[in-house]
Amino acid sequence: MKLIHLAGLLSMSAGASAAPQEQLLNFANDIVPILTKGSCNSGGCHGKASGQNGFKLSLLGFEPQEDFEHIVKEARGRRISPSAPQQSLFLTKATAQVPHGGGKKLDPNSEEYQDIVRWIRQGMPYGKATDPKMERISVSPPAKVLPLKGGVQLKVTAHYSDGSTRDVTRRALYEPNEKSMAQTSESGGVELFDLPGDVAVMVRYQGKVATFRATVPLGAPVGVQPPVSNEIDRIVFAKLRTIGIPSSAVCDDGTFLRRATLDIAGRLPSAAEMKEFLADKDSGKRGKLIDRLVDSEGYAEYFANKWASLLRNQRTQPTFARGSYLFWNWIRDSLSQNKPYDQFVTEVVAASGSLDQHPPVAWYRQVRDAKTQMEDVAQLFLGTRMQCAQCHHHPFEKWSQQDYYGLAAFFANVARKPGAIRDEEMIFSKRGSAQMVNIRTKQPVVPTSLGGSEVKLAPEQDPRLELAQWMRSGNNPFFAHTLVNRYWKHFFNRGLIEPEDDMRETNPAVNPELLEHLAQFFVKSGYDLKALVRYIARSTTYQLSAQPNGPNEKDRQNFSRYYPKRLNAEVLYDSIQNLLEGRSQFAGQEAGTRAVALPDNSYNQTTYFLSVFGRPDSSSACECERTQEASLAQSLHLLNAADIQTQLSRNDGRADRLARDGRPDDDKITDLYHIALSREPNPQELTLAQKHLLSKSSGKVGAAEVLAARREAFEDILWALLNTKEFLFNH
Amino acid sequence: MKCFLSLSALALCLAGAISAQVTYPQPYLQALDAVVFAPGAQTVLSLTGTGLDTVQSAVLARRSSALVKVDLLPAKEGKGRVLANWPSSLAEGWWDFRVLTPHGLSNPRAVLVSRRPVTLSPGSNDSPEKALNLPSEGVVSGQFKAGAAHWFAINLKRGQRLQGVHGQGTTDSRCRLMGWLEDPQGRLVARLRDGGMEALISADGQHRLKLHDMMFGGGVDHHFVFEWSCGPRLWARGRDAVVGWNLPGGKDMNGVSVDGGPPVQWLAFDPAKPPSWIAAAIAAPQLPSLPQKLGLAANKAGAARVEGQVAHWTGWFPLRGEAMVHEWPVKKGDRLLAQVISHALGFASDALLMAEWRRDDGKGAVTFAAEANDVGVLQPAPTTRWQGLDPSLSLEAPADGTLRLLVSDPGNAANGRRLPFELRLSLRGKEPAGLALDAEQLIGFHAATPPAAATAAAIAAPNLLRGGSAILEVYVPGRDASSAGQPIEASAEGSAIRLQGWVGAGRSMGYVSLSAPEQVGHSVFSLSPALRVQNLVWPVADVAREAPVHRLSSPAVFAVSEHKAPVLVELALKPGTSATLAGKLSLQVKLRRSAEFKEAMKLRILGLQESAKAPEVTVPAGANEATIDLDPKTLKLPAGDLVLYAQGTAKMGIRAQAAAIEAATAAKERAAAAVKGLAGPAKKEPEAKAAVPSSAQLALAEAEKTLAALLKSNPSKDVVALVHSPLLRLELR
Repeated sequence: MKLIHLAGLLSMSAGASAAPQEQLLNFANDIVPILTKGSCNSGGCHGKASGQNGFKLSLLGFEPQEDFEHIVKEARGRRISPSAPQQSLFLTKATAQVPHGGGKKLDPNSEEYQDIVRWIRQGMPYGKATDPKMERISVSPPAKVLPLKGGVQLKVTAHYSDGSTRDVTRRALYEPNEKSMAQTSESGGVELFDLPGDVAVMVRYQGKVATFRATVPLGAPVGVQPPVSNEIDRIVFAKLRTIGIPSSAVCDDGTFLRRATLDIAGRLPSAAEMKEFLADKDSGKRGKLIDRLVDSEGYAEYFANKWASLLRNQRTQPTFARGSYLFWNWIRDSLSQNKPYDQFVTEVVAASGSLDQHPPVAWYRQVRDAKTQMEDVAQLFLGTRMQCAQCHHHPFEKWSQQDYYGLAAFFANVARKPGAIRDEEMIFSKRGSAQMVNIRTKQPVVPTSLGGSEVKLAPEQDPRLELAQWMRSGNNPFFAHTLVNRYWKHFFNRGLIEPEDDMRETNPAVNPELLEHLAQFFVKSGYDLKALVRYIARSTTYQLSAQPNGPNEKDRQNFSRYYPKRLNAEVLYDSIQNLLEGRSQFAGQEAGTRAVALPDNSYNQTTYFLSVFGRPDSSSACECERTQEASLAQSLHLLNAADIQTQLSRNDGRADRLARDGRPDDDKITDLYHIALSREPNPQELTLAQKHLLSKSSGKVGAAEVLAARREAFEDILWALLNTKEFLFNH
Repeated sequence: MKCFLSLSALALCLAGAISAQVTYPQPYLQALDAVVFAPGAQTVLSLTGTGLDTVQSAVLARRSSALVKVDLLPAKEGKGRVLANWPSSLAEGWWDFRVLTPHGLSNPRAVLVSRRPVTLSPGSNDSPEKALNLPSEGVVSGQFKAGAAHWFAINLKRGQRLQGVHGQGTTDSRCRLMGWLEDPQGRLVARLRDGGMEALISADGQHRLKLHDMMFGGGVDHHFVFEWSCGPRLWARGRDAVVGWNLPGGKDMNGVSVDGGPPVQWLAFDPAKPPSWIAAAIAAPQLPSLPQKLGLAANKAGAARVEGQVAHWTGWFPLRGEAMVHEWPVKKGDRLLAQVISHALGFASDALLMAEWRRDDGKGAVTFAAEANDVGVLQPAPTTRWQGLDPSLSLEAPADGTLRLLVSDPGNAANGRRLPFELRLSLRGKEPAGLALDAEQLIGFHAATPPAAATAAAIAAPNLLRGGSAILEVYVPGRDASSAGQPIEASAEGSAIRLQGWVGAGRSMGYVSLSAPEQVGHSVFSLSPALRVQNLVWPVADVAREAPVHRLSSPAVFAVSEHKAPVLVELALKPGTSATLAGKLSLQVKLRRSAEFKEAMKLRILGLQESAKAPEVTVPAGANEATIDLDPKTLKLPAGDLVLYAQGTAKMGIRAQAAAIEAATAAKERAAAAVKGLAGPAKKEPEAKAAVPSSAQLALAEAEKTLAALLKSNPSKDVVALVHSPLLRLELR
């Protein structure tokens, strides 16, 4: 029979006015959670490194012994009045009876207040070593299907080492992962808004976490769904049926051509490609297009652009140029030859030698110490943000400082020596026992995989190779999942887990079955990146129209339609160059080099377009460094910027050439729509453009004047096209 | 991009100015516009550099071949262009090309002699539409303009296995060549990687090849040479085996990739009868040398091959930086030297050598002894930094047992490459009596190379002045503090040059002095062929800001210039003193000045320690000797052989056509002597004159006139030359 641990049963302690047989409160179990609930020990208040107004607590109560020292003993114990507990500064501040910067945190009539009073009256016991320790929490219900605008009251139970449990609902903390979908109350109530989908509520108590998942069906009639192309569709459509969200129809050929070419090769399809694709009657043409795109150099360049940024291929000084070129070329070549992803990662993580021997050592230029190396590896390849755990237990995840230093220890033996060329280093693994020191315990920590055990290594072994081996083992729960989630987001503008590199129990996938399936597919394929891209792109889910059908308009996470996304900076730059028949000229590059093929971040300084449209500086392992938000500066640039105007009005540019072109205006206008939007202009658009051409040239006398006027008219049409949302977005 | 300073200038050492800047006009060859020649062909060349106005001939050199000298004639195409007629017997392959002027020999530049079709890429083929047609095998060379690529079209057939090679980093070009081959449909077939390309052709038709510099640089320094064929490509060669691709009869080496790509092939052969196709196979310059008796087995340590006091193992470094273990029984007190030889053979390895002891005590406990990744500090340090020397360990067995040597290549741990190595274990105390310059792994450094800057003067090969000396620093591997002094035996084929070489006790750097007697004419010679000498490829303004780029060349080639040395320097122990550790070391410097050189001369005494701290002695103006006292204790000199030399600068006047002037001077002196002889003794003018036949007087007048004309048309120009004494060997007790 489980004991119910009742608050209020206290044991007698010497000098205290506790009732006989009263069970003593345990500081860590009973008092610290009150501080956490009240946010007293949060990072914004007493929990920060310097404390607040002379009173410091450990962040989120991860170090109760320290908190005890601060509260009870520090400053000669002035915070506690054992003889008059309610007069304790500890309470008078919290109840705002004396000025308190943090405001009123406790109500004197509350149970929490009473517990603290009782604890003081008991003589401020810390607790005995034999007191039960909390092992986990559980939330009830763990999952539920709820209607729109529905709600549920959660119950949180703490489980202790002696088998006892306690209802800690009032003292737990609640946070939904999709704030647009739900809100929570202090007492564990969950209230939904009117968005269908999945929402998870993270529940925290005393360093432990649990998750409640709500599935919110729309309940609309689903009807006949589009045909299933592969298992992705089966899983997605099954979920859509469950939650009652009908999918949009499959997109037309022109839309698909544009979308796939942009997503896979980072460019617009040419007019010739468009005409050929639309005219092709082969039912398998979409699959063949995907194959062509994946096998093209455009794919390798576009994805190299992505990986180079994540791998911090930064030119932080001029002498780094050679290395950044070498590294980018290595990434591009690896993708072009479809190097298995696990091998790619191994070659980066365990990079050794000089830049000439092995260009990925360039990564080590930017990540200089073991902790940064580990944090980047964890975020990039394991989808885990370990940064918080350096100083304390991770607030939202199970990782502790010991886990942090155990993972960092894989990089403890990385050493450098000068290379043959100035400012270039050689990376090597020095012989010796690999270990880091836990800054809290001051004890050495040997290499330990996340959630795994210590790794025994001989002194001459490179620990990084062991880390890579663990990462690429087929049952690693992070490695494949992180990659497939990242690539899913690349294509769908939304990961199965968001953010894509913050995978934790308290941030579950919107479709766990799909995530697991993709991960297994990827592992079974031998970590074949091209196969993964083909698999995703061939799915009907990817080929759904972006047009909402009414019921799915508000869907943001179930992929019932394509979610449009603005072209990223490099792709937009190249698309505009393509539309205006410009020829880029980047320093140290061949004329006509695409912006997606630029090797490093240095071009952001010299090409304003790239920085204003959010090209990342490659200074972090987070894709969030790339900004996709709209800004006034972007709009103004497209409308007015000198470089755009110059390209528009250039002699031998597209406008000039079209003005001289003797073909009918209809054909020329149609060509522009093919290039810019990969579709035919509708009659209204055609008429509008024709009228503009006529009105510009009416009243002009002489061939030269007419030509100039028509050229200007074509410039206007081009300018208008490139400022449309349809052009700016991948849809 | 201008990379050359207008006149050679020796920058001042960090220890302080010891002399004027060297301005001797050594020729510097920056680039030549054609780097591929066919035997028997005539080529018009445009040479870029300085000091090339009076180019006389080209000198081609390469290991295991005699020097080839080819006159360079003025070409009708105009100034700065020369014509070369290449001998039809010129062997194919890569050569070092130098030019010879009256002042000496230039630095080398790599050129390719090939019988394959050679195409010069004009640069106008900068787009796919303008691709230049190429034959199915051949050589293409060209020069990049900034921001441009070169395109080519080649007709290939399905099933062919195309091999392409370019000398990544070894062709004296700043260009790092990149490119790809695409099929008739524009699909990528293969990329250039690691100095080569292998492409399996899957469709008939016109394929396109794109070549460009990685960073799209351009200029005379950005030339390229790309050789291709569907035949064999060599990656490394030994006396009895080759490794490469497409080798007729070659065996696939499972799991051994040398460039991260597909496995290589291996072919062993009788050294007396190498396959004829090897000479014609395409290969990069400076092909690495395979260790002797390397063998096909790649994955475990084999038995040692024992020769005298030395055990040799050969093998391939394991993957992933793992170690291969070799064991050898030892007795207590055995003094051993373990050396890895891999980088010295030309492989891009970064070997780690570790030693462990296992006692014969029945328990088999293993204890760590030592490890080395680079060679230890060289004593004394060379004036030029050289990286990547193979590691070695000196060990003494603490007890009877087994020495375990673990060899790995951690620098290539992550890139899938495996490279060959040889491991040598020698018993110390049995060093050979003399070190031959033919011995492998010796590397020479031109002692003239200054530390503070690496300018054009440092780039040229050392040129001896007639009657003068030059010094070559020589790295001798496998030495430590306990090594005894040893002579270095050297030969200069077919010349009267005097050579003297020594490496001192406890030293890893030795010296070879080369002295040219005055009567030796303007000539070129090479040293023992196996010695490789470091050459600076490009000058830099300040080595503190930019690392110089060097490469090794073999053989070491020198020239004796037309000019006489302005002063001869001798270094000796001061008479009446001895060389003892406890006392002072008194050295005497003696000068034999030419008539023109009267200034004071400051000299550095080198060979004791790092050159920046070399002691200095000054011989005052008009004087011919000076002494310097050194304290062996302060200099931390070990007992045993000590090898020193003196270095300084001296002003001298040089004239163009020096040889002609010397000949005219000699003719005038002969004519004057003849006249004097005919005049007879004690005869006054005009009787003396009357006694001389008019023909003799005419001859004298002619000789004087000729000499005067030559002197007038070739005014003297003052330059400052670097001078050395020969070596001084002392036994310090």
